[in-house]
Amino acid sequence: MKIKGSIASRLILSTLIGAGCVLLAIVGYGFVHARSTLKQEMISRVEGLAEGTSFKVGRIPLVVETVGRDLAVGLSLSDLSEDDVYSILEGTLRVHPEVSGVCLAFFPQLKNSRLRNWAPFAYRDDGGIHRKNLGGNGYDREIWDWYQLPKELGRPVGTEPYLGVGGSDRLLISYCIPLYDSDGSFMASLACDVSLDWLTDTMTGLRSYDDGYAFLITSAGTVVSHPDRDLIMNETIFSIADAEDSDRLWNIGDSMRKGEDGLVEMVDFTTGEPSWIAYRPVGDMGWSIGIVFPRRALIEPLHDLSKSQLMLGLIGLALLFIVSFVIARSITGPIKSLSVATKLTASGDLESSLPSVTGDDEVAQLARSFASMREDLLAYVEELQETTAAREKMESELNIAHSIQLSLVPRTFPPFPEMEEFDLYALLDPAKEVGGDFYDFFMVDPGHILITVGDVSGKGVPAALFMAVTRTFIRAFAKEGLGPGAILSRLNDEISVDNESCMFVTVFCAVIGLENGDFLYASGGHNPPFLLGDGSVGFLPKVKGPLVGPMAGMVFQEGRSKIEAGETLFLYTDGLTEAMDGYGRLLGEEKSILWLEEMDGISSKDMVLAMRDRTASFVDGAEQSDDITLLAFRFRGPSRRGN
Amino acid sequence: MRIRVFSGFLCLILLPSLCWGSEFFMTGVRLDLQWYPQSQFAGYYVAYEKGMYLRRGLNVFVYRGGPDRDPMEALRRREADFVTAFLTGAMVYREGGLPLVNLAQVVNEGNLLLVAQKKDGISESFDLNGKRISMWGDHFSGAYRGFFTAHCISPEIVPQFYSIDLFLRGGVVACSAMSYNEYGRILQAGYRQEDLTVISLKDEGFGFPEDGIYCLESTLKDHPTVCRDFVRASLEGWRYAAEHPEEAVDIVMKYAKRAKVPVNRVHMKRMLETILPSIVPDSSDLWSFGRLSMSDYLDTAFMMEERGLIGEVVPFEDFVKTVFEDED
Repeated sequence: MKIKGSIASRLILSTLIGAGCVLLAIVGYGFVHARSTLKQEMISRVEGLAEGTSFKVGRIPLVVETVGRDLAVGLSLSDLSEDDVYSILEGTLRVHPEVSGVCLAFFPQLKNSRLRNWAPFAYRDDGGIHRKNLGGNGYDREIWDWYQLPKELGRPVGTEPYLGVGGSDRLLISYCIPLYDSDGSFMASLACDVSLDWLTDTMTGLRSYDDGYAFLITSAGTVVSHPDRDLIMNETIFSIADAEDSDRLWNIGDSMRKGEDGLVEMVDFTTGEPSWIAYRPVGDMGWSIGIVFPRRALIEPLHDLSKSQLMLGLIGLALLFIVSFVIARSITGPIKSLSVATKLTASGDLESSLPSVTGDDEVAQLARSFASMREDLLAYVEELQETTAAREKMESELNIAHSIQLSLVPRTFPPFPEMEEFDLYALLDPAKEVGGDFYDFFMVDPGHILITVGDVSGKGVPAALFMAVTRTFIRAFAKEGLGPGAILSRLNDEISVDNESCMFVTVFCAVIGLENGDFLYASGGHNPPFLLGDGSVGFLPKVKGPLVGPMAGMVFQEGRSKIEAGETLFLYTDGLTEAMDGYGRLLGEEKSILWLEEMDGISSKDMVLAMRDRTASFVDGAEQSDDITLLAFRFRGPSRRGN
Repeated sequence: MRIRVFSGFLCLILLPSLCWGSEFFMTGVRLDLQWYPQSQFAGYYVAYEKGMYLRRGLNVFVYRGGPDRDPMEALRRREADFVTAFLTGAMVYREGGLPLVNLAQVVNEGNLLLVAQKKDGISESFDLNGKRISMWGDHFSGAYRGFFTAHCISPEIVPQFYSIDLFLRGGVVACSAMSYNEYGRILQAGYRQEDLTVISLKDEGFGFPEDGIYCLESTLKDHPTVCRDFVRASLEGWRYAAEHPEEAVDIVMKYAKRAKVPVNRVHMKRMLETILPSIVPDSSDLWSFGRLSMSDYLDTAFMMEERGLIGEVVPFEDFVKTVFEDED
């Protein structure tokens, strides 16, 4: 089952359903259990009643058998007188008040003529005990069951009830035994009469039930005890079954008649109420006792119990509902507030108030985590704002630096259109954060051109300004006619003064004579330039020179070389050789040389642009980490203008 | 002689129900039935209850029979005026010197049965050979013995009296039974029809007329009108019972209870339903209602003679005095 809706309703519903099921299970189990207990109790009641009845009824056979044995022994061993026999019979009546009459009926075909017409009968009447001979005058003992049954069956027998004759008109049952003489031939039947009223009274005395009733049937199904006295003797359980057209009752009767016991549900034939009937055999005469309990009497207390259990359960459920409602609210209330707060937070309001949650449960932890998250977020946003401000500041600085850097390098090409002796092209490709590269060239005098490339340590505006200073000094010192070594030396001295931030610059500087291509050069810690010619590329011979700026009084070696017509001097900063591809591999000098070798003979501009493009391809989108400065000076040879 | 004629002048209170003989020339008569009040005698109780006797000027006292009361003895002592009896029984008494005559034959077909249990291995007549069975003696025995002879079987006979308990307790494998009485009681003792083997002597050719109305020859001679009216009223009672069986059973139940006789309605109803077909014929060619035919009489008499139960056959016209004709 899938329960939709809020957590609270699901929680409440699930709890109630769960508890309801448990409740029903408990009530159901209780009902079934109590019912089986009651059934058991009913069975034990009928057992008790049957035992009680058996005990009372069972005494009669004992009495008869004792008396019978006495008489049989007496008659066979000694010749008992008539009076002796009557005395024994009367004695039995005196000792056993339940016995209403005892008769010793001799077999009419006995050889003993005294006995064969004799049937001494002692009976109770009008409070006294009387004697009578049933052996003659119209009373034919042979036709009666009490005489015939033991004779023919050869065993003790309890008769069906019959209307007593002679002594009284009461309904009697007789327990009778056959007596045999010493030869083993039938001599007499000894019958002990018990009034059916006594039996019914006995049953009433044993009564152990409030709502139900007991009844007793004989082996032929005849009702001999029943609260409805109209049924007694008149009906058999089968005749009632016939009248009610009840197969079930018939089968119960059959089972009772067979001496079985059982517990069956059926409609009571006297009241028409659904009832339980429990039965079991009683005594050894084939009789059976039944107890009928209205289902109402059995089930009603159960229903009451179940009802009160259900009521209690419902009250419990109501309490449970309230408790789970409160718990659910205590859980979902803060969650709902948190949800609202989350929405506000999501919309940017980090200052909105948070639900206050007490305790240390999961919800409280969640609320605290949320609060902590928001605080972190707030802090982060503040930090971000600061960072952004700083970045913006830096970016504006960079822009400034950029402008400075770019404004300081000559960007008009060809720079000296009237000069045919050389072909010069330069390019400063600044990295995102300005690196401080620069290049410069200018005519020192009409016959000499100074070309320089430098790389200032540091970045940003300070580096740009440092570069500007460096360039200015180089221009100034060059104007004074100093050679490259001296320029660098002076430069070093000048910028090392008050250089508290210890900035420095690498510089390559060459002064090229345009008449023959001779040139002087010096390097302050800068990458040695390439010289291209005739398809080969080589480094300019190295000259000693420290970084420019850190320390005053340094000497820069001055080199002398010659560039032939058609050769190209290629200056660059470490932005070229230290260009890095996506895998962290450096471009390196070898690759630069290989590339340059392929470019022999092309113009400076083409060379610089080609190198820039190849480098861009090499780094393949990786961010440029340093400025790249390229400068190509191609010497065409002396001017033929004829100066 | 107990038939008394009272003068109406002697009776000051003219309430028939309270004062017998309150009608002019009311005759008091006593009827003794063979057995306890039961549907076997429904017609008489109905005639009594419905005033059919009174309407004919008869104030009838109905006496029950039973093991302690023999109607024939009452007749012999002149205490009873009318009795009911089996034809065979009446023949024996007549043989014994009681000058009785048959005024009407109420039950014209035999209802004797032998009942056995299938579980004892009895499913047909021959299975009874050599078995221990209980059987009514006296005049009843004729039909049974005739049946045994005809089937060449000789069971061991234990005398049976008023009780079927010996059979119910397994003391015998079969017992005598009237279809309308003992058989019903066997069923009511928890036996199912399908578990029983029932041999009807009538179906085996040994059915003889049963209950009839008898009186002494002298009574008929001295009071022919009383006899006639008595029989007419009794047969009217039977007709009424046949037409109103439920009411008849109610009446029987009432008198059975009054006599404190163990009885139940189911049994009584069944008894009436069972016995009526042997009283009221389906068709007139079977027998004439209430009348004993000469052939039935002679069949019965010769059977009794053959079985040695009677010594000689009384001529039909001496024994049977049908006196109820010519009403209406």
